[in-house]
Amino acid sequence: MAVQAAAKEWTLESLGKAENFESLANEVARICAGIAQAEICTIWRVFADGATQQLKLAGAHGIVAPQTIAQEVVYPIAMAAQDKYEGLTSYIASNRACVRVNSFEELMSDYASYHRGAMDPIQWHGKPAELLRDLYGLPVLLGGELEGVLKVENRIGASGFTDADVAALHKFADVVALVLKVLILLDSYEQRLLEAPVQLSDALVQRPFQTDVAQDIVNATAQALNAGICSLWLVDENRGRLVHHASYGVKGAPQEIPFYRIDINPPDTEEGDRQIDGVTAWVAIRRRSFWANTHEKLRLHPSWRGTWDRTMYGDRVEQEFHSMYAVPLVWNKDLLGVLKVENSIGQKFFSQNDRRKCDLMANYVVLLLALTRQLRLQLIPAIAHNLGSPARAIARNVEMLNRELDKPEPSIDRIRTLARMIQSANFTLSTMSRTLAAEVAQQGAAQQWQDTDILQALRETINLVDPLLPQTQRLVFQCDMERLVLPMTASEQVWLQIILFNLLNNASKYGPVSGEIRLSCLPERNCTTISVADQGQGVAPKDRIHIFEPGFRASNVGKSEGLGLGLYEVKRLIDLLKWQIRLDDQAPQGARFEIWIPAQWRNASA
Amino acid sequence: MPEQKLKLKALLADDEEQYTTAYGMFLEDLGFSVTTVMDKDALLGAAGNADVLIVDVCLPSDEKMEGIEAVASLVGEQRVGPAVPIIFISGYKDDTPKVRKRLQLYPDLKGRYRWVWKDDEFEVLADAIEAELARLLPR
Repeated sequence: MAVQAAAKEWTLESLGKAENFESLANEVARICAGIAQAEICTIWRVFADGATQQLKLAGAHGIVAPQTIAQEVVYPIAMAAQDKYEGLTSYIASNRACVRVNSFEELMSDYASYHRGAMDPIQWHGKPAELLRDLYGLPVLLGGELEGVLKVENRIGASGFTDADVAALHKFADVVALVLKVLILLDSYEQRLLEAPVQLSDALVQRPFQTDVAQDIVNATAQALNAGICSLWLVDENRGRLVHHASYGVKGAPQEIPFYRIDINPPDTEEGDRQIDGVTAWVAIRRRSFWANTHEKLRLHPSWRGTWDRTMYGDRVEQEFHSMYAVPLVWNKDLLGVLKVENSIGQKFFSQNDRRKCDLMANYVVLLLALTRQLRLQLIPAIAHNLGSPARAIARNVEMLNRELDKPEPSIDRIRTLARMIQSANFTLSTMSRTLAAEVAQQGAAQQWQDTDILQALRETINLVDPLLPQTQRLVFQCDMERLVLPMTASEQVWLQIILFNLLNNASKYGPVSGEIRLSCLPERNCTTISVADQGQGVAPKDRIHIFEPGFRASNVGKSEGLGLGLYEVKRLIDLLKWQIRLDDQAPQGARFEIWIPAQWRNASA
Repeated sequence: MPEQKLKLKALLADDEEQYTTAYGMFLEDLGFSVTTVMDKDALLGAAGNADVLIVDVCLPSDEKMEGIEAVASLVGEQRVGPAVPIIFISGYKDDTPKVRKRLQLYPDLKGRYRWVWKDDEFEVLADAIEAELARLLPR
């Protein structure tokens, strides 16, 4: 255990120093090799290549040519057992199975049909029979999801990996899983950087901590501790609050207790504790863990308010509450949040061992949060470079335009083409810079709600989209009002524009080239309706329930290009905003999307 | 530009239409017959017929810099002749650490190319092509 604890501590420490995630993965491979006393360790991570999932090298220790292997060796993950596995690594991933081999002969007798030797010429100089002595491989899972494969080879000082080696490796696999998870997340961010600027915008303005990962964490914590309830709370620095982020076993409470205030720092005395707004807030402010094995102990804590208890248990708190343990999440002296478990199942309270497990999970959460934070720091230079690209494209196209205009007989076709390129690059640049502005705003106090004229936001979106439409297509905006003010943050305004851009883009793609796209905004007493309608074929009835699913493309889209991500993106942002969207379809007369913004939206989503 | 370039074939590789349009027109105005490709495989397929290669370094991803990789394999496997000028165009300068690191992977490329920054005006590209043609073409 001491080895794991030291290794984990080291991993956390090295995070802040790691130049990039690849070097971090290499360091983790080095730790794993040390834990299992192996000459070689390779960590393979899942990546999506189109519809298929594959494995590629994420980090390695002790191998001959990591760069070459990273570029050349890829293992597909077979989706069905009858598929042929492309090597033992592929077998481990495909079957979620561990493999232990004590000699090359054993490998060839037991797994000959899987062994493809992809690495052999590189790693073993084509002589695996002489150089490979033994290996152990295990699938790396997080919340039941495959993140990759961890393999150690050539045990030092013994023949074959021992049970103790293997057990130690399995215990450390959680850390490996988190590192891989972040590398996989990074993949999707990189992918987004290459995709349409609209999706880039989304990647930047969405919340930094992926909700599904947070859900994995609380599920895994509850399971590991056999807890009835687990909740994860994260700090919102801008507003000095501790915000509920994900929970397991909670009945409706998060909606009613969305946050605790932590923007105070009263004296560290009992009297000071009384000023704190609840025990969870106390854990955050004092940065100390807290546990209670009876409701009385909880109730006697000076910061106790009972707000959560009333919401969770009502009048039955005495009968239903057994125990709780809350631990602060701290990284480099910064408070990141609180992880809290309640009601140990099958026993009266959380044992010391349970609390240690919870501390361990808290460390993992900290690791993940810190990695995510670093991910954002890495993104910024990439964005700066990406912003430069459309700017340079504008400069070169303008230069070429001037050259053309200087000719005695300039070509009208060339001028039109260049103008289109300039408009297109300008659109990219404009969307990106607005996103950055929103991102910057999000870092500071400017993320407060501001009165925002959404008609102005709509008009700005039209100005961005209009130049991209075919010349014969008309975009008509209908609204009887001059201004329509809603309290929105800078990010939310960008989300609204991304939503509209996607809907208008769809209407243009699927409507007739010489048709009309109608954008309207109708404020009513209970809600404001924004609609986008085209004159295309509409959506076939059998497709309607699927249109917001990722990757779905309607059966009647013909040759129109698209990835099926636009409407998925729209729906996700609509959900984040807590608005509603519906397809009011009149196929074959055209599709009409309606967005409903409740009149009390801001109050409801606060 | 010298008269001899009227019949030369330029292969322009860039994954962004916003660049291929402007650079393609400029090369046409210089007198080249221009073929445009937008990815690494198309570049590898078409390079054999080209008299001049103008290649975006990042084809299509920033991280992989497949433009450099593709040209390195063309040079290494002698699929482009020694007299074919190679011009890399990029949003990065060639002294950017990540570019330098990438170029170091391919020693065959040393002294074999010129680098044009996409911020530079077209004359810089014209000068680079002219200098390489003067250096490489038989007199």
